[in-house]
This record gives sequence, C-alpha cells and structure tokens, in this order.
Amino acid sequence: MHGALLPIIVFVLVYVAITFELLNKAVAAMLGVMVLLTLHVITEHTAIELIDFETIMLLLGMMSIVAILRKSGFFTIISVKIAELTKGSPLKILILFSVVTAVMSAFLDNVTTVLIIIPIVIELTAGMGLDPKIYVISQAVISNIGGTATLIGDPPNIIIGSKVGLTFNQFMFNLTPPVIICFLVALGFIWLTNRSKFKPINTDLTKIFSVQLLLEKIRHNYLDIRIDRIFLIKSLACLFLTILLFVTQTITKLSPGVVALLMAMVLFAISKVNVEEMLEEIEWSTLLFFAGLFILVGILEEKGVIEWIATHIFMQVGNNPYVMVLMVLWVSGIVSGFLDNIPFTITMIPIVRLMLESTPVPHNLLWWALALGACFGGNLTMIGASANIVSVGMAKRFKQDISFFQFMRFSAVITLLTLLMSSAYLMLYLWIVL
Amino acid sequence: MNEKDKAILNRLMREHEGIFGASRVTMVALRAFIESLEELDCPAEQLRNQCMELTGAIKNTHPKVIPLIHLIEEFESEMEPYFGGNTQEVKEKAREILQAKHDRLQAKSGKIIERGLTCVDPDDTIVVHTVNMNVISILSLAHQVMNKDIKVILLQQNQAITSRIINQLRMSDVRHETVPEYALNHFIGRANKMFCAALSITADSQVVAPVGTANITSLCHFHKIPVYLFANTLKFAHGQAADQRIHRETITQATDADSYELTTYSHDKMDLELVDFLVTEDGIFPKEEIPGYIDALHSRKD
Repeated sequence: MHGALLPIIVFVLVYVAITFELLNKAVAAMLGVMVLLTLHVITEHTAIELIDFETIMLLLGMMSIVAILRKSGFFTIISVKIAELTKGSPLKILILFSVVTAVMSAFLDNVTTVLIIIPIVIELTAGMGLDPKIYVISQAVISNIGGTATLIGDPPNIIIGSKVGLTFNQFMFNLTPPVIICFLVALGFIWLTNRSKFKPINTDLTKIFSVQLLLEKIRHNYLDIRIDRIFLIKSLACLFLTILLFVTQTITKLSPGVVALLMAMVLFAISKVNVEEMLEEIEWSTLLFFAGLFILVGILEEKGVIEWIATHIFMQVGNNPYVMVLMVLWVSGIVSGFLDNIPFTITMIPIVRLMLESTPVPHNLLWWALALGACFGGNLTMIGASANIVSVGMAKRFKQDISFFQFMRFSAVITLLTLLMSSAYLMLYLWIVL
Repeated sequence: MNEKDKAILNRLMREHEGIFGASRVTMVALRAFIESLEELDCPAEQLRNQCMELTGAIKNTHPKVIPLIHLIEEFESEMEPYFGGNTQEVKEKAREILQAKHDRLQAKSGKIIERGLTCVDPDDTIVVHTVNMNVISILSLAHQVMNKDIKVILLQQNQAITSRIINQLRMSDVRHETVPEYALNHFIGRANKMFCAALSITADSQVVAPVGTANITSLCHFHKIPVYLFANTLKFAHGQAADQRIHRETITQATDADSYELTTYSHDKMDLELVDFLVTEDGIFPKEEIPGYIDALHSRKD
C-alpha cells in the first residue's frame, strides 16, 4: 500500500463531503481527483483510463431517451389514465400507482418516475381528503424496489452491469423474480399497517361524486397540453427498440452503453427536438460525479487499498459462500441506507471481485447480493436514495411535510422485509446451484 | 355527510367554476352525477337517501351554482316517483333524467353562441375577462368560420385560467393581447366592446361574476364601452345577491418583515345597470329591455 495515505485521506474527505452534503457531489468527487492530480499522485492519462466509459455512455444514453420521452407527455397520459382507473378507491390508488411506479422505475430512472407520479398522487389523495403521506412514501419505496429489477433501473445496477459485464437478460432473469416478491411484500405491509385508511368509497354517492369532479380537474390540469402523436410514436418506438436491443445483447454483441447512446442519438435525429433544450435536461453533474468516483476508487485499487479492505474485512468471514453472500447483501443494504449507494457500489465492485478470486461463488450470486443490497438499502432512510429525497421535497411543495422518522417508520420495516426476502432468495438459489 | 366531505365538495365546485365557468361546471357536475351513480354500490332502499344527500350538498355549495341548482331541483321532483323500483331501474331512470338536463343545457349554450356571433363585427377590439367557454367559442367561431377580423384584449386573471383562454385563442388564430386587469385603462381608446359572463343573475338585479368583473365593467361603463353579458336562462336566480353564499376566505399573508390577514371573495357582485346588452338563448336585450325581460322570465318560470 505504498503511497496510499494521500488517496485514502482524499477519498474519506470526499465521502464525508458527499454524505453530509458539504459540497455538491460532482464538485466533491472532481475536487478530490484534482487534488490528487495536482499532487502528482496520478497522471491525467491514468485518470482518464480509470473512468468506466461504458457506464457513462449507458447513463448518458438513458438520460437522453428519458428526457425526450418526458417531453412527449406519454408518462403523464399514463398517470392520468391510472388515476381514472382507480375511481378514487384508496386501495386501488395504492396498488395501481405502485404497479406503474415499479414498472416505470424498472425502465427509467427512479427520480424521473417519482417526478411524474407523485404530483398526481398527491393531487388525487389530498383532493379526496386522504393522507397523501402514506402514498408518497410508498411510491418512493416502490420506485427503489422496481428499479432493482433491471440493468437500467437503478444506478448501482448500471454500474455493476457495465463494470462486471453482466447482460440485461441476466439482470432480468435473476433480479426480477425477487423484486416481484419484495414488491408484493411491501404492498402487503403498507396495506396491513394502514387497513383503516384503505376503506372503499363506492358505497357513498357524495364521495364518488367528489372523486369524479377531482378526476376532471386532474384531467384538465395535466392533459391540457398539445400531444404531438408523431413525436410520441417515435419516442415510444425508440424506447421499445432500446429495450429490444438490451434483451438481444448476446446476439448483437452490443453493450448496453452502446445501445443506449446509439438509440438516444437516433431519437435526437428523428424527433427533431431542440437538442440544446434537451441537453439541459441531462444530469451532467451526475455524470461528472460518476467519472470522479471511478478515478478515486481506481486509484485506491491501484494503491492496494481495496485489496487490503477485502482481505482484512470482507474475507475475514471465511470462504463459506452462504456467509459471503449474506454479508455482501446486508452490509450493502445497511450502508446504502445512510451513504450514497453510487460511491458505495463503485467501491464494492473491486472488493467483490477480489472475494470471488479467492472463493468463487457460482451464478454471479455475489453480484446479485450487491445489487439487491445497494438498491433495497436505499429505502432504509429518507436520504438513502435520490428518489426518496425528491419525493419528500415534492410533498413539501404540496404542503405535506414528511419528517425523517415518519419516513423511516415505514421504510425501515420494508427495507428489513425486502432484505430478508432477498436473503431467503439468495440462500435458496445458492443451495440449488451448489 | 360530514363537514370535511362538505368542505371538499365546496372547494371542488369552486375550483371547477373558476376553471370552466358556470355552464361548463354544471355539465361536468351532471356527468359526474351519472358516472357516480354507475359506480355506487348500495341497496335499493338506500338509493333515495344517497341521491338526496348528494343533491342537498350540491344545492348548498359556496357559492351557489344556480344553473346546476335549477336542474338538480327539477331532477329531484322528476325522480321522486321512481325511487321505489329496483336499483338498476332507479339508476337507469336517474341517468336518463340527468342526461336530458345535460343535453338541454348544451342546447342553451349552443343558442347563446349563435346569438353571440351576431354581436361580433369585423374590426372589433373586444375586452375579455371571463373564462367562459361560450364567450371563447363566440370569438373563435367569429374569426374562424365567419372570417371576422377581430382583436381580443385579454385581461389576465390567474395564470392557469389565462393560459387556458390563450390556448383556445391561439388554436383559433384570433389576434389577442394579454394585459393585467389593472392595465385596462391603457386600452380604453382602442376597445369598442366588452364581453363577460356570470355565475348568476339575482332577483335584485345583481350579477354574481368572476372576481375582477365588477371593476372592469365599471371602467368600461364609465368610458362608454358597451358591456355584453352572456347568460343562459338557467342562471337567473329567484334569491337575492346576499343569498348567493359567495365564498369568503381570510388567509394570512406573510412577508419577511410582517404578516397580515387578507380577506378574499370567490366572486364579485355588480349591478345589472352596468350591462348594456344581455344575451340569452331567447335573444339579445338592450339595457332598457332587460328589466322587462327578467320580469317576464321569472313569471314564466313561476
């Protein structure tokens, strides 16, 4: 670990700055890189080589596609249609919006999903005199669960998929089944603990009448936009083709990053949108944040720090694959609840690689444990995932304050349940394949 | 029906009236009533109580939506003989009656638009303040179908409502200029007509209209700009202006330095004297004929 002290200090300082929001995440990560470059710990050429451009391409591509899709109004139309389908039934509002949130989160980023869903959910529930907080928290939690199902659903999966070379189908076949179970368990928990709040309203004519008026208002507020059908069709066709190319990755040999960026560029070209305007929608700071973290973790890897952590902490539990899988799952779950799961995942990837070198665990189970832990762990606290922070922020704009503990009272139990279900799934999987 | 549900219904009716205007909100409410009956799951013997509770709530909103109240009162009396039947029959009859009311109001709106088109002349510059679909349709059709080159001075209310009107005018390619309500004085020399609508016209010759209408109409009246009021006959109330339950609300306005209580009203009250032409489905009535027409209308109803 010769010359590792400086990179360790910089890395810890960057982590502290990110965790306590002392600096913008991207600025913190890139400032750390710049300090190390200035002190000649690495050269700029090495720094560039450490960036995983596959991940950056995938993120950039998906962000572009989602930005154009949002402009098309498609998701707003879907949300309003779902609101109509619920007919004001509190239980239907919970179930139908949760299904849409989970599916949307699996293919779009979670923040985009909650940005579309939460305003309509709040307007509908608050307008009916229900407590919107339960619905806001459940949609945030469900978006994190749904995002775990696919390679493109959540940043930890994007990072794992790109850096480890796992395909879209591998993610879908291995993570979608436990995600569906966890989704049902989470919904069941929300319903069980709030049964009195989900009573049907179809026995009260006046309440149904109010809901009908409310739905008319929602239709007016959200659908009073001009829908460009051609633009909508082009956007949806590109999204469909992107997913098709992800699914056929083993045949086309095209990596997800190439597919996403290719389809984003095709969509830019055929949709004739204002490119400058669309590029403003891209979260450039997130991409910069990723690049900075890749460099910082890469330096730690080069200096032997990651190997030291793997050997002296994670490998201390022995070479029992059951224990290894459980440890990766639970450590990821708990740490991701309090720290940003993006730097955590980037840090964990080389550690898991070293663990696998010493004790191979079949069927990528350690990677699935990391993905499930990092994604589900984000539900532990209000600050565990970006979707949680955005949801709570939006609720505040609608005069619905959700405190840290109000959120955690719900989400912590759901996190515990989903991690328990994941443990059972991974143990069973391991037992079958060993 | 508890106080919370009453408050929710009142707020929704008010919001809809603000967005769509009285005629549209009446049609929306009638459609909502029909759809609600289809959704309702209750035994036949409870149907009457459920319907009466809802009609009672509709008749007691703040403010009163007079066209809706007239139609709901008719519905109550027409429905009474049928309440003994089975659930499906009662629901079917209620749907039939409510749909007929809806269609009747729609026909009245169509006639007002027809009459209103004759009030628009080429090169008119018309001040518009109210969000009323009939008024917007008149302006759009006058330009698009009758090729009358007109200009609209649109007075800004809340942003959502104004945007809605602008969208309609844009779609019809009607020339328009949007200004704040308080800036109308700059356009007095150019405007030659003002179009407005009402929630109701009371027995004491008061017009209950969207907030801001009273000031604008007074200014136009003062500058001898003819004021056209578009209202179907269902908007004429038997009660006095004081009985219209205009919603009053006091909210706290906070600034960095201070906070104060602000009292607002959901609607304006203004004298019918300020109106130069009353346009109903029965015809266009100049100022001097309005009192006689209203008397005839009330006696016709009675």
